[in-house]
Amino acid sequence: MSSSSVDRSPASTVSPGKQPRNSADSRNLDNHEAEGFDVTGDDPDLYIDVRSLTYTVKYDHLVCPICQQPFLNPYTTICGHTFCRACIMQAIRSPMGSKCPLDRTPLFYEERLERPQNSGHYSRHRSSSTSLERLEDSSSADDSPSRENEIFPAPIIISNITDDLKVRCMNNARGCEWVGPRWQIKLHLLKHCGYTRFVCGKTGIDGKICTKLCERRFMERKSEDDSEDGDGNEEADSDSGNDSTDYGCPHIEYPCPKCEQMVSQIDQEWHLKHECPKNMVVCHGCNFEFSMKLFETHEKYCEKIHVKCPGAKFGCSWRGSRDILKDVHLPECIFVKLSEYLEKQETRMDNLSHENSFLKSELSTILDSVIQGRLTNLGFPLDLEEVPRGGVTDSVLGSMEEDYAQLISDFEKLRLNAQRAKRALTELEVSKQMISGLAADNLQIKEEMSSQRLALNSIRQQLQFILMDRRRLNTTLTRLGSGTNLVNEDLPEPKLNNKL
Amino acid sequence: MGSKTFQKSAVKRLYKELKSFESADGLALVQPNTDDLSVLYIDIKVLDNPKIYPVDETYRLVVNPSPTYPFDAPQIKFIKYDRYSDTSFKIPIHPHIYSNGHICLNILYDGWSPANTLHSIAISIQSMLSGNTLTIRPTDDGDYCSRAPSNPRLTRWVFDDDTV
Repeated sequence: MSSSSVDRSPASTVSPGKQPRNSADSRNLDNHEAEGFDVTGDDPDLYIDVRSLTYTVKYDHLVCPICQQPFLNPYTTICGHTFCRACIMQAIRSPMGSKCPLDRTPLFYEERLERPQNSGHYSRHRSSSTSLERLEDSSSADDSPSRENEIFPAPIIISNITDDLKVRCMNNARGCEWVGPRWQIKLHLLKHCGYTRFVCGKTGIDGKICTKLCERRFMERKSEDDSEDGDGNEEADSDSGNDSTDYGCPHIEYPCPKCEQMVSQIDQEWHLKHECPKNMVVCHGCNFEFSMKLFETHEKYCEKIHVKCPGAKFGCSWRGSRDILKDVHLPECIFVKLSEYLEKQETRMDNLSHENSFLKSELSTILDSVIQGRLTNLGFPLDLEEVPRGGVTDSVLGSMEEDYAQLISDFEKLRLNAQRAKRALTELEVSKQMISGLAADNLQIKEEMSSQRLALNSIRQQLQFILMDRRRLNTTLTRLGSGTNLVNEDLPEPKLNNKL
Repeated sequence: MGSKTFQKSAVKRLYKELKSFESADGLALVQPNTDDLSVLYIDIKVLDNPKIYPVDETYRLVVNPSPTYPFDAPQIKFIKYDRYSDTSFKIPIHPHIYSNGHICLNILYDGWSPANTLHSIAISIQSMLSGNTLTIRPTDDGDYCSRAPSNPRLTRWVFDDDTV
């Protein structure tokens, strides 16, 4: 039976959900008060029940539909569903028969066709061994003409992922804080965890071999007085058959050094802390001695013990004994007086920061929707409005199409207009350039004209001068009485040339 | 402790199933006895068939997972009286539910698959009630109830109606 790995250990108890999580008060005696892992036989592989582990991470997928736990040695069926090997094997032997538990596809499976595999074991080297087995299988498949199994190992990546999920140590209830990948749990339990219990196997006080169970941390103790060093971190060869008599049987009872009550190494720590009436501790406030078990309550009420001012969280650095605090410091401490106000402020601040973060998230939603172009409805898509109009979709669609066509034609018209305007604009641009060219020409011409005018003016003045000259000549000529046209015409010419 | 009879993995699974009911609509899984997983109650309300099943009426299923759960079907039937809380319940009227609370539904007997959960079974029964239109008991109700064993799994069921 593949279910054999379950409940083989006689010392194991059940109901993982119910044991006390806090191990501080659970006394680790020989009775099974706190559940954990015990090595009681020769082959501990057989009863490390990996399926009872507690996972520290969420595992929404990669869960076997039968045991609802992350896959353990996953097998896949021909219909594509994956289960733990133990689960699917038990399922096809159940009254349901050889069918897939999920879709009832008939599944052919015979154990003799299964490639050899250490199914009960839990080792990291499964991946490499599987590939080897695959080779063997393909070679041996030739000699058996019968059909192949329809349940076969799942892809290795699945078991690798599930093997890497973080789990708590099975001795968590006894106080072990270890958390690690699932594939390391065996190594941890068998080699490192100080809370794993082994058969003691040491010679007791009556000369017999002790058969009680004992946690590793007590077995590896160097000396009986060394009671603080109980974590069992030292590396040691700690098989159950390890009967080196160096440390002595931890179950041998001896009188408590303080109160004479019989204790063993295993319960001494607990005894001193919670039971022993003579394990005295001096209170550093009042200098009285108290037994350890009373000290905790005393600590709460001692008048002399040094405590912090209640206003310490607002910044008061005062420290002193409790009675001085009450009589002297409290009436004058400004932080304590303000504490009510400060606390109010703090709650207000808290509220405001909560509100602020809420508003921030709202704002980011709105910004997102703005970016996506859905400005209205405060972040909700516009489509919401159209949902209730299911019955009249056709007409709505028709009118929408018409609107659309109308819009398209309008748009076309506008586009043509725009093109025309653009063309006109370019024409205007050209004529503008022409005009500015003309204006430049115009200026030039104007300048030329003014220079011409100047020249003309001077010519006119000269002409007047010449005319005056000629008139004068004429008068002189007429006075001389021998005036001819030839002279009239020839004379002014050289003068004119001279002037110019 | 009743849960001692279960496999460790089954105990884990049952606790997980207890949790999965927390978010279920109209369904509630009750553990009448802390630490005892061998007797569980599922309270069913039918929310969308007010003509036959009033919305505020609660029907109670008693579930006894077998020691080999989930590889064997749990024993499931409606009950009239719960002795833990001293309350009475009605057996919902349905052509496949006998007046002694036995339910003629194949997934509770030979149609069971280990991949079924208490939650999926409860949903099946809830939807069976939601889809019902007939206010009648099975035709052989009186005859069956007079000779039926208390455990419905011991009955030889013949599943003849595929419509419900």
